[in-house]
Amino acid sequence: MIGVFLCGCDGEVSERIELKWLGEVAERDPDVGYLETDEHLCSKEAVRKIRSIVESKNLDRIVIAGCSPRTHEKIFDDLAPIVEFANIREQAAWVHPEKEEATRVAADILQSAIVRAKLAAELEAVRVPIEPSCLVIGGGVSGMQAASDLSAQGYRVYLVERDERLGGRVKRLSMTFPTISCGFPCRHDCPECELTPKEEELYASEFVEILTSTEVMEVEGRIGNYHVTLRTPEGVREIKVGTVVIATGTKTYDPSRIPEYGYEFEDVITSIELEDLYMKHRFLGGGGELRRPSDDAIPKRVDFIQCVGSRGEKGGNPYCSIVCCLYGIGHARAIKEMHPACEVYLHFTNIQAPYRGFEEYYKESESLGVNFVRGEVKLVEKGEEGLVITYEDVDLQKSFEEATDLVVLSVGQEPSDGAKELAELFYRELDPDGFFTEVNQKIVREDATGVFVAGCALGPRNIRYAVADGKIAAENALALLKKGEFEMEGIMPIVDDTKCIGCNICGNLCYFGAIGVTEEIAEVVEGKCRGCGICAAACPEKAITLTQFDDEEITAQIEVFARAGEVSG
Amino acid sequence: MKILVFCCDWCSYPGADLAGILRLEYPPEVRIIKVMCSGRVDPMLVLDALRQGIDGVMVTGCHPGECHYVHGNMEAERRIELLRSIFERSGINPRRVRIEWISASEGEKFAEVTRAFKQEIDEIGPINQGEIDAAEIIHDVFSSERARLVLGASRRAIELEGVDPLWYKGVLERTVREEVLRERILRELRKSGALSAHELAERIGEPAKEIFWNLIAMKRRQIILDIGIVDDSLKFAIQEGV
Repeated sequence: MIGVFLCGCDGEVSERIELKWLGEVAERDPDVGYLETDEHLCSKEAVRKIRSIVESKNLDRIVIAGCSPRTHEKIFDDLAPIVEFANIREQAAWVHPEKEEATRVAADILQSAIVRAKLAAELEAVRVPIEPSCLVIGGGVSGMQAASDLSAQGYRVYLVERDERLGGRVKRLSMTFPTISCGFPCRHDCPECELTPKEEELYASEFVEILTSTEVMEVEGRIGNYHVTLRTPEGVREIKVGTVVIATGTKTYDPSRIPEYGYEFEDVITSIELEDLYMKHRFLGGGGELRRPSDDAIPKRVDFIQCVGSRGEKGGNPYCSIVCCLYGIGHARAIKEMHPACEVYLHFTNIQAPYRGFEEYYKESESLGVNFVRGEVKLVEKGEEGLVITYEDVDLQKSFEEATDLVVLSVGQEPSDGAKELAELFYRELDPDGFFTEVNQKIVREDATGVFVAGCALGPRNIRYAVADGKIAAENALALLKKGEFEMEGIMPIVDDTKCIGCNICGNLCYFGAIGVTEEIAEVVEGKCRGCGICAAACPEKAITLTQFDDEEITAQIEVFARAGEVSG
Repeated sequence: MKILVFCCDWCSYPGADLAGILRLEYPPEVRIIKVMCSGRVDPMLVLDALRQGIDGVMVTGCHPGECHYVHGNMEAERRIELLRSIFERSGINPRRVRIEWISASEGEKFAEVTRAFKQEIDEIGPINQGEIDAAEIIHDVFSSERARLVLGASRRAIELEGVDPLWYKGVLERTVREEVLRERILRELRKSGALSAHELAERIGEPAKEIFWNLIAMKRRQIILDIGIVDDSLKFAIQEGV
C-alpha cells in the first residue's frame, strides 16, 4: 500500500497549489491507502509522524510531494522500503504563477511519482569489501599529510612520488610567509624545519612504504580493490589497495610564454629560481644575502612582477594562483631586510590577501619601504648595464622606463604534467582548467570510487590549505577503511542471459568497465557501475534491465503524462 | 499540448530546479522525467511518447565534455540526430524532437529552451494521426534487433575502430530507413494477406524495385515467404509464427 504525504512548505507550495485537489487525485488511485498533508514535512515532528504512520499502517511505499529530492532526499529516504519524490515545489509551484496551471502540473508530477512507487523494486544494496590499504599519489605536503594521518591509524600506505625526494614544491622554498616559522635564517634541511621531521617520520613508520622516482602506469579495479601497476626504479611492481589519494599538485607557469617579460635574460628569474638563489648562497656560506645570477652582485634594485600566468594577464591562465601575492610580498620584505639600501618594486594589478593576517602583512610591507606599483609591466629588456623595465603606474597615470638589476616573475600554478592521464586511469573528471573536479561541488553525494583528491591537484592552494586538504582526504579514506565495506546505491544493470547475444555493445559503451562480455555473455562488475543506464538504452536485444530507471518505470511515467488531460479534465 | 523533457540527474534536472528557485516561468505544458544520464534515453522511449500523442520530446543533458558518465550525452545526441533524419522521410515533423545541453547552473537556459520548444511546437501544431502511426512503426523498428545493433555499435565503429563517422552515419540511416520500410511492408501484409511488390508499392508509396529487394531480404531472413505467382505476379505473405 502506498502512503502519500503532501507538504505545503509553509505556504511556498500550499499557497500556489490546491493541495486539497491534489489529495483527491492521489486518493483516486486504488493503491493509495493513506494521505496526509502537512505544512512542514521536513520538521523533526513530521518525520517522526511519518515513521510511525508507515509502521502502524504497514506502508511499504511512500510518496513525498513537496520540494525537490535534491534538497531533502536524505531526510526521507529511509522512512519506508520505497520512497519516491514528487517535485511539486521547484518544478510546479515556483514556475507556474497561475494556481490552476500549477495544480494541474503538480497533479501529473504526483501521479507519475505514484506509478514509480508502484513499480519500484526495493534496491538491494551492493556491498563490496575494502582492502585495508591506501595508495597516495604525490609526495608533496598534501600527500605527506594524508600518508601520515592514514598510517597513524595503522593502515598500510604506499606513498608514490615521481621525483627523487618527498616534499614537492615546498621542499624548494627557503621560507614561508607570513608565518616565518621555518624561515630566515632557518635553513632548508635543518631538523627544526617542518618538512624534514615529517619526512623522517614517514620514513620511520612501519606502515608507510615510500616509493620515490615511481610513477603509476596502470589501474584496474573498483572501490575497495584497486590493482595498481607502478614503474619503480627497480622495475614494474603491482600493488593492491582499497583507497587512493591523488595529491599530484601543480607545476609553475613557464614565463617564456610571455616574451615581453624577458625571461631569456639571465637576471630575469622566476620566484622559484629566487628561492634557489637564496639556497645557493646559504650553502656557499653567504647566507642572508641575495646576489643576482649574472655577476653575483648584490642588486641595488629588484622588481617583482605579479600575476605571471594568472588571472588572465597577458594570455595566462584565467584563474588566480592564490599564493603569489603573499610570497611576492614576503620576498620583497625579506630582500628589504637583507639589503635595506636595495630598492624593491612590486608591480601588481590587485593584491589578493584574503586569509587571516595576510592583509596586515601586506599593509605593513608598505611601511617597510616596499614600493607597490599598480599597473601593467609593458616590457623588460636588456640595457647597457643590467635591465630596463617599462611599466605604467595607474595611480600616477604615468609610464616609466627605468633601469633595474633583477626582475622576479611571480609565476602562477598550473596542473601537473600527467594529471590528465591519471584522471583517465581513475575515471576522474578534470575541469576546463585541467584541475581535478571537486566531487560534491554542486551535489552532495556519497563517493563511490574510494579515490580522493587533495591539495593543488584540485586547484591552486597555499601550504596550509594543501595540508588541510591532505587531512580531509585521509579522513575520507579512513572512514571507508574503518567500515571495511562499502554499500553502493544499487542502481545496477541486470543481464538476462537468455537474451544476451554477446555483442559487447554494452562493454564498448561503458566508460567505467562495469559491464562487458568476457566470455560468452555480458557480465556486470559489482562495485564499478555508476548507474547511468547507457548500456540498457543501447542493448540490441533489450537484455539489460535496470534496478531503477527501468523502461517499465519510464514508460509508465510517459503514460501518465500522455493521458493526463483525460484524468484532470 | 504536451511536452516531455528528459532531464539527467547531474545537470539538467538541477538546472530545472534552479529555474524554480529563481522563480522563472516556463510553459505549464512541460512535464519532466528524470533519468540518471541523457544516455539512458532509449529512442524507443522518445517514440513511445510520440505514439501516445505527446507533441514534443526534448532530451536534455550535461554540456559536451561535462557528462558525469563521460560520453552518455554524446550517445543521446547521436540517437536524437538519427531520429530527426528518419522522421524527415517518414512523415513526422523532425522538429518534434530535440536535444539541449543544460548545466546545473543554467536555470535561465532551462526556462528559455522549454519556452522556445513550446513556441516551435505551437508553430508546427499538435501531433496528427499520421505522425502517431509513423511513430508507432518507428517505435517497432527501434525495438528490433537490426536497428539497435547498428546504432549501438556506432561508438565502437567510430571511436575504437576508426570508421569514418559520416560513412557510418549513412549506413545507420540507410539501415533504419530500410527497417522502417520493412515494418511498413509487414503491416500491409498483415492487413491484406498476400501482396505483390507492385501492390505494396502502391499502398506504401515507395518504388516497387526497392520494395522487391526488401521482400527478398525478408524472405531470406524467413520473415515472409513467397506463395508463388498469382494473377501474373509474385505474391508474398508473412511466414507463420512471425
